[in-house]
Amino acid sequence: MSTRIIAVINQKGGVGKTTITSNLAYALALQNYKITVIDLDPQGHLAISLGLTSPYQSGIDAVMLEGVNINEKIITVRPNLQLVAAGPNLQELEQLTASGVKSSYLLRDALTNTLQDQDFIFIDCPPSSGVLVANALFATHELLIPMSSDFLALQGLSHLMGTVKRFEQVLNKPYSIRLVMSRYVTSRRISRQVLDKLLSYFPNQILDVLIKEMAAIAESPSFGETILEYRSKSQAAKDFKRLAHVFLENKVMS
Amino acid sequence: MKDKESLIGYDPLAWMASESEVDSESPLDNSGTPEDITENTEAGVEEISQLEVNKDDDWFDGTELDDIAFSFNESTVEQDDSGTDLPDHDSLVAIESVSTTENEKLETPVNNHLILDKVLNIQSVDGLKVKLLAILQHHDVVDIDASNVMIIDTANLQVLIALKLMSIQENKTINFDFPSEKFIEAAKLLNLYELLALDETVAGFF
Repeated sequence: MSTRIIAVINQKGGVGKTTITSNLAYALALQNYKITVIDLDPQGHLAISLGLTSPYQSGIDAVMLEGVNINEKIITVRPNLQLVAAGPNLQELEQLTASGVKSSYLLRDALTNTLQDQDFIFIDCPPSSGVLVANALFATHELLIPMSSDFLALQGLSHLMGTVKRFEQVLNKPYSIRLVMSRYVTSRRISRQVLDKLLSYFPNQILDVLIKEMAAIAESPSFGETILEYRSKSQAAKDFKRLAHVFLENKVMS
Repeated sequence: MKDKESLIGYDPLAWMASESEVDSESPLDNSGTPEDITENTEAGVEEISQLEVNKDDDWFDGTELDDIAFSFNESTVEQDDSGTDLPDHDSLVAIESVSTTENEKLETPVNNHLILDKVLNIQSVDGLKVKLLAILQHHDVVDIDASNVMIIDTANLQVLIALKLMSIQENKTINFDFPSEKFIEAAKLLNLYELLALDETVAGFF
């Protein structure tokens, strides 16, 4: 099976991209899939979520800015799970306007003929729409879009889909898109209405799981742990185990 | 009929419904050669990269105003006596003749008042152009309510500029009523504030 590269993407911040990336990746690693996660967000939260707190740890920034081989920046963080951190200089990539088009291919080129022993590569994208996101969109054809269940998330998704459709036109190839409901608050009516709205626009594209808003999910990164380690028997942990299941089986809501 | 129980008023995804109809008529094909894709990709990325307005970039200054204002066509610019750069008459006729076909599909506008949406982006620019051309065809004075605008991109500003210049050429008037602070901010960023004749004193009034 060839390596699947998935961009975890949403231009709106706070929807759970890093949370989804770290916890889904670990859930899959527990099932003996070989996983690499790449932190493409200059904030560097993915590394912190997995226990790496050094702000000086270089990673994908060196790969993309200096041409360092990506294999040199891999850090094994868990069995079957390895990380390429963002690095302290990743923000500089957004300034590479002089390079024009070529600055958007850097990640794709870095991943070409590398990490071929991996089952999945997840790219944790930043909450923006610049060169870094363009790199992710060129590097993959699979998008996993975390969606929170509030109105502004719909607005953010609208903007993202506009960008995605432009890329599809340029590349002349459609993306495989899956949405996952994240930070879902079951007690709010608007949560269900937002979900229904999404189901109307994205039939058979929403993974069949609701990642519910739980305090433990917000707590676990401070300990450098995934929810599966922090509160392994919690509802949140169950949600992410189910996420791994529906992701692998491509089970979607109808 | 709007559901009274709905907690979602404005639907930001509504444009996708019409897009899906277009996509079904002309689906993406994978028949391009790698060279074709690369060539399209490079051209497309340039286009995509220009969609993002970066305040730190000096990609636009006043000397590029002509290029932006006349992006509907590729005509050269004539100087009138006032020194204002204007599209030539043939170009305006070309714009109107193209848009007439589109306007034939629209009913004659009832009034000369247009309320701009909160979000004016690449998805809305074609619709905006059609609406404004239709109103301008039938009225000598057009009032554009810009009080709701929260986001406006360069494509939509290009439309407004082109229509403003067209109105000047035709001795018609386009007024921007109560422009929002975001609208003014975007216009100033691109040095279009004076050309659009905006009145900052009433910005954010609503």
